[in-house]
Amino acid sequence: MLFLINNPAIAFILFIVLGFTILMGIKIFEELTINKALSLKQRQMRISSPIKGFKSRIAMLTSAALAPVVAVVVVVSVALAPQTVPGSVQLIDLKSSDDIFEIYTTFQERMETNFDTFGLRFFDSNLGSPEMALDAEEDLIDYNGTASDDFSGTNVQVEGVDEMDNVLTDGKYIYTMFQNKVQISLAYTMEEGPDVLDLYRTFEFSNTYCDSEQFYPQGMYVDDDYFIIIGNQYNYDCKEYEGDEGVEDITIEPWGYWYQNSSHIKVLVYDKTNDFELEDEYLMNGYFTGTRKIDNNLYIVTNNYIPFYDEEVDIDYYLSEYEVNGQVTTAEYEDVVYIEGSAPNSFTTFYGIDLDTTQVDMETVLGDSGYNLYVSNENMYLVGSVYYFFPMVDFITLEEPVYESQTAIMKIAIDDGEVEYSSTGRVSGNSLNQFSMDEHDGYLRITTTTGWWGENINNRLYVLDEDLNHVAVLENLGKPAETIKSTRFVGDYAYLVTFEQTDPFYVINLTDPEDPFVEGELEIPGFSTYLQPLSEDYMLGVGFGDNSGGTQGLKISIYDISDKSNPTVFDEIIFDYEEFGWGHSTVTYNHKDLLVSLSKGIIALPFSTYNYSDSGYNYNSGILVYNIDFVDGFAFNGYVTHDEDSSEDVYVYKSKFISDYFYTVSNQYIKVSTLVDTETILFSTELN
Amino acid sequence: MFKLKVSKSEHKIIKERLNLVETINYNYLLTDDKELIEDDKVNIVFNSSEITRVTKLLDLIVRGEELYVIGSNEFGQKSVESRNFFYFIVEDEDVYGVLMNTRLLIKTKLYEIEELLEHKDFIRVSKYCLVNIGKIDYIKPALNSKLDLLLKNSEHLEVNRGYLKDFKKALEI
Repeated sequence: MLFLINNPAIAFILFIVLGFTILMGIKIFEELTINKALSLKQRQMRISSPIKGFKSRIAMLTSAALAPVVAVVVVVSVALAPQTVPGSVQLIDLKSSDDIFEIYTTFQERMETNFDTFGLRFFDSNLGSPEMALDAEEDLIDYNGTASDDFSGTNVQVEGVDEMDNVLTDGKYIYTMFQNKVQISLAYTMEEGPDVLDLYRTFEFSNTYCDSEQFYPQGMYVDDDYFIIIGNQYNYDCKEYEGDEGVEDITIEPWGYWYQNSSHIKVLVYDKTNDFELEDEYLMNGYFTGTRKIDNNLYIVTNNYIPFYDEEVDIDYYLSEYEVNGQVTTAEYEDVVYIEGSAPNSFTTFYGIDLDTTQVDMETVLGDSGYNLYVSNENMYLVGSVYYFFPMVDFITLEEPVYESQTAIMKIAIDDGEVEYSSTGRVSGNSLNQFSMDEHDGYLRITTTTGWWGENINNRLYVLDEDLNHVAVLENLGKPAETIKSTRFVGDYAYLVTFEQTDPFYVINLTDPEDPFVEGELEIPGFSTYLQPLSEDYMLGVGFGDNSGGTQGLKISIYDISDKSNPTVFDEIIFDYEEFGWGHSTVTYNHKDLLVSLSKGIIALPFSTYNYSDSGYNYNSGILVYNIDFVDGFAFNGYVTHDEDSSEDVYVYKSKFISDYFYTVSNQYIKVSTLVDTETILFSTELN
Repeated sequence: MFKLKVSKSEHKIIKERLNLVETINYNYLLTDDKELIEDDKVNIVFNSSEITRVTKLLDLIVRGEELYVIGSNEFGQKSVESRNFFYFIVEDEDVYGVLMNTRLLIKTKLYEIEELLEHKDFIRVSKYCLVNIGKIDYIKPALNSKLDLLLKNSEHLEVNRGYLKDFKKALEI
């Protein structure tokens, strides 16, 4: 009804159609009655002459009566209920910032938005506390020692595609990062004995609000040649007020950044062969979305929000721009890609940086920012939102949303530092994380969930071809009301965990991309939020589960997937919260905090427990270490404690090994022990 | 006009073969069983082998007395059985009787013809026109609440609003 009030024209048409149909109905009835009477009368007169073409006449009249109704039904159903949404999307050429304004206006009108569609960014205001500014102060100490080439790298999704992390090792040093400090500690010195763990270098960056040089490290990469720090630089609009009489006129307005912010991603590349000398500095405008590194090529994805609410917004100012050692390059509007249906609220830019030549390649897309980045060796896939507008939305007004929110998958081809927009596909639902995607033999597989709770949940697995057209889709995975908790693709198989009450662990056969099917299923209490293949036959799962079939505990499982049609639990460990208060492991949401080494036969993960007493919280933080093999499963190795009965969580986040030494890192310490006996600390150094 | 009284199983077949329409108010009773005759009606008792003859008899009963209307055309005067006329129409104060292939000039007033053919299922559709119900092929109700009559000779006639009621009555609606 509201719809009709909103659309008087449509209401009028409906009224006319209804009137016409009723009139036609009456006419048909009248014609039927009168001709029947005629026929009867003539039979009474003993004249038998059947009326010719009576049926076709009535059929014609009926169809004439129903035609407008059918037409209206067709139009309305096409306009309002498109069940099948095209997979491909349309690209639109841009010439200038005016085109962007036009796109924005159209989009805005379509959305009829009064709400915050564009997801205004809110910053973590704790990021930088106004302390003394220290300009990348470097403490140098003497060092000697050798490196080992047997060490643990970052636990990445795709082999060969490095992911940025906050603790790294290259076999010689351990690189740690905390707030505005990056520290390099000499870790491996076999010649000197294992008792050396020296802080070798500290980079301390300014984190003062109005300092133009402020820098907040986000993560690091290290390889044989380079040590790279990537971070944010926020340029707040720190105006100086002219104070009232007698008041100092130097009031700083740090919250000005809400309105006049600009953020830059800074990449600092240090030359390892030259004692960590700063070699190159890259600066990109916008906010950080994601990064990967393949060989000596660094890929960075940024997003720069265009504040259209500001009537005097200058789009040029937000157009993608990068700086290599001070040399500025700005994107051209002609090179910007706009994908029909995406909210034109920001520039998403894909950068490819050749670290050897400092050559930068960029591809800018006007659209909504993405939230999950998956990078294979050949392509980057950024998942974001796209709106599928119902046809005719420009002509009719609907009280319901005029669009269906979908997942847009932007595909950018990467090749040796070069980036090129390839295509955009759409799927229904939202993807959970980077592990929801996987590229295999040119096909992209992605799992999504539609809905958050209740009956309308639909978990899907899509197989898309190189152009991101749908090849196949498996729908309604899991039981009703279950959502996807983790996905892992391994070659021709996908492993999927859905959860609501129990944990069905699904094995999906993707050998034929056009015909995926659920091959095996295992139902157990609890659920895994992270899956990592240990071998072809075993899968590690980390998640939640307790001793009474609930989820109030940390659960680490090894699934035996040798028989794909019948996965089983090979071994599992449960830490029931009931036994120690409460606990958590960051591995349940950050795969990079997990250490898995089959060559060393161990897994290690941070695990903190806490309980509350009269004296406040008591934290016990450390790293859990288990020996694993495929005969006995898990065997407890040790719990490396970083803090006991502490009132504050020291946040233990990483474990690494170099050769036979085991390093654990928290906000406060790096501790070293041996892999054989992880609990016996050989040496410990205090950080920060 | 008729009532048929035969055994239930044969009722439908006999009714069809007699081309019979039964009515609630009837003058004639047809039966194949002497026992079923009704005293106050005209009873026709037949046996099934006579059905063809009974049919002819019924035709005669229904048509009643043959009524002839005299008219003339360019070939001279003719006397035509009333049921062969499609309609009678007044044109320039002359009355014409329309037949399948010709029309005859009738020297009688239209109302006189109407009176004459009172029991012959002719019905006035307008001030100037009297139609043979048996010659109507199809009736299309028009949107202006008139009726469009398609005759068996493919001619069209209109039932004017003022005559609609009587027309419907004639069709027993």
